[in-house]
Amino acid sequence: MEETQSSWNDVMSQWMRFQESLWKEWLTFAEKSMESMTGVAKMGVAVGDKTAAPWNLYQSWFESFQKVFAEKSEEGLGATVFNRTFHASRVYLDLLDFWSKTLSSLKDFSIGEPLSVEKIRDIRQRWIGQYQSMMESLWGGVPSAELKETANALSSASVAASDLAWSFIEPTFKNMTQVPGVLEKVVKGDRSAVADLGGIFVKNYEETIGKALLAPSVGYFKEFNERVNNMMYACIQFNTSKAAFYSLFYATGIKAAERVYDKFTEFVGKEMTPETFREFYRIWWTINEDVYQELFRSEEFSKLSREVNSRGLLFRKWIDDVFEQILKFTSLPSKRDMDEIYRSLYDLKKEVRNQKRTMKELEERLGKRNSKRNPSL
Amino acid sequence: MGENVMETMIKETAKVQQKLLKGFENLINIKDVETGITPKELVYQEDKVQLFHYDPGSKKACPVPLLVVYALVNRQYMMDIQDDLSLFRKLLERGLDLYVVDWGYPTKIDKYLTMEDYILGYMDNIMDFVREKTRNEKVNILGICQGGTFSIIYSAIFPQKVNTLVTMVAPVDFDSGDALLNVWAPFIDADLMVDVLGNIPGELLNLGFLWLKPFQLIIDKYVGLLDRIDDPVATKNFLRMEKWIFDSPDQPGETFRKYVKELFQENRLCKGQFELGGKLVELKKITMPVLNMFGELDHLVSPKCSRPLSELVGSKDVTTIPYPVGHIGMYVSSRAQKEMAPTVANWLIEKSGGVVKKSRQKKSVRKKGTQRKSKN
Repeated sequence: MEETQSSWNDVMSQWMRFQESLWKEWLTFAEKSMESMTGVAKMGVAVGDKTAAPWNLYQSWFESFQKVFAEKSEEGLGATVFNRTFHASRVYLDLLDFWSKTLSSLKDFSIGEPLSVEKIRDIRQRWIGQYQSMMESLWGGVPSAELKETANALSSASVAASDLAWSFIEPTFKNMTQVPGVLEKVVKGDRSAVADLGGIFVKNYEETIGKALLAPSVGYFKEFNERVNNMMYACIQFNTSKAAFYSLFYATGIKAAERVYDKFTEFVGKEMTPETFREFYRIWWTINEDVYQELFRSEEFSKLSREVNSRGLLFRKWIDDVFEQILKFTSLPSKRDMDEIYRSLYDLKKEVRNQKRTMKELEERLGKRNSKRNPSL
Repeated sequence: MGENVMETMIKETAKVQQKLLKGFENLINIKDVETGITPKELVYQEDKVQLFHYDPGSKKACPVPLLVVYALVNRQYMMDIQDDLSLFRKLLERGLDLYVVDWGYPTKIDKYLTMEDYILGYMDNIMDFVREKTRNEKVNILGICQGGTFSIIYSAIFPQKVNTLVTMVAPVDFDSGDALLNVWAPFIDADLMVDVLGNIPGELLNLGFLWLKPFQLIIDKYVGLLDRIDDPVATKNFLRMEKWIFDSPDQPGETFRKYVKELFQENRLCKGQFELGGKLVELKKITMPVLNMFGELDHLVSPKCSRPLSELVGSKDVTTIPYPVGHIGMYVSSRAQKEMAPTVANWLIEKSGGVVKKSRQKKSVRKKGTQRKSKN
């Protein structure tokens, strides 16, 4: 208990220091904004300036909060629920951020003034642009057109072409769990990820299977090579379908944005209060829920889900297959070996259960027969 | 407007900060919360499956015991989740002698367990145990959700062992198509899933359930929690629900395969084409009294999936009761607590030759307004 109290005090002291600095930052900004010539209208222009805009301060607050508390987080139900709550509140405040930015950006337009087609288009573009940024925090990184193109190009590569990939990936199988993540980064154009992959390559090539692959066992090598090729191919296909899947999610978010926009116009000209924001939040999530429900009910979604799941499962199947081969080098049992054991145990248990049942039935019959022969029993 | 924007932004952010801080303080040291609060006794065990007895003691009013069969998905303690929300406790107070199946947490070694093993094996053994222990030829069954489907199948195969069948949010017609699970089911490659994964991870199923209402279940629910984070009782209750929702055992692969392919995708049970252990499951063989209850707002098991049972069974004594609640609301809503438990208890006592006490009978009559007899 004392330890917990001390830990809590420690968190609180860090927290207070952090609050103090954050508050100072806010005050400084507020002073600056008051000094500015056109006040808040300027703030709307400064939206992209992360160092100055107040609506970005909460982001630094979140990051610091996470930093302060991450180290103190414990395992357990409470901590898990707190983390979920933290994520949800982040989305909530992202929406508040979006709301603030959007309302401020509308300062350029006078209420009551007839809007030209250009102005309407401008408002809509700002809306969608800002909404897209918020979507990224909601769903994570959205696949770019480049990613999709690259992934498509890679997926259309023939198995023969994957020989090239094989030479690249060959020694990394030992760290197979890292490969999908690293590859995804590579496909996204992350140069550091290429370096990571290279690092894994060199390290493992020398230390692990590279040696075995150099062994003069040509027939076996060929089989293993093909399995890894298949795994690579499955990985690329999986990532391609994932990109398509997330694109659909993203497109649906934009569709929801259009509907939220229609409702949002009802708020233009109203005073910005926590209550109006709460109302906007409620509209936002219920509209999104409805739009995503439409997506989830569509055949397109079901088909794409099946595609992603199947590709992911096939990738996993090939990973298992490669591991099966790797484990032959060791004395460890493979998945197939374990399945055999599970199956035997299952059959044995079932046999015992059936035997017990038969014995019980026989006992019952015997009991009935005896009681018929000798009713006094 | 601009000043207001900034002011509101800062105020609201600060408010969320404070609530999060409070949330951290209240939640972070809670390792677990107590669920399954009513005293019980382990009376039978076979592999990972356990049977618990809840004794009504001197209040016993129903001469025939009730076996509660929950789904393999999630855990049966939902019906005994906290002091003021316990269907089990309410049934005990009404004098029912309760036996509750706990299917346990299947592991890799259980991947070959089939629906035959569950229904013709574990469930039948448990039924025999209860029949023997209580010296009853027949036992009442309350089947919930997937456990309801299991109970329906069991009752069709062993009608001689079942006194009455009570189903709660139990799917029987999987072709209804208006619940998302039914929309997605035709696209599930169950063979590939089971062949590759063995058991189907509970986390994967949970993800599917969250996607049924993603914004409500992933965002708004927790934003709502922040609003009542100062209330320790509400917070504890929230944690109990969270524990239950995410407490999802893995599904044994072979059971999942048959359930998805033959029920969700081919709707064989409803069509009279479902076989188990080489026996055709004919719903017309269910001739004992049936009480069919479901939630009109259920987004997991649509009323269209549950309601048809009343027409499909061979029984002439069928009572159908829709409640204006969702799936989980069937177990924990205040309406369910107030109305459902007495209704079930009185119905069971009546069908089991027990005596419903006058005060209870009066309540039962009052509740009959919500009931509708489909047959009889």
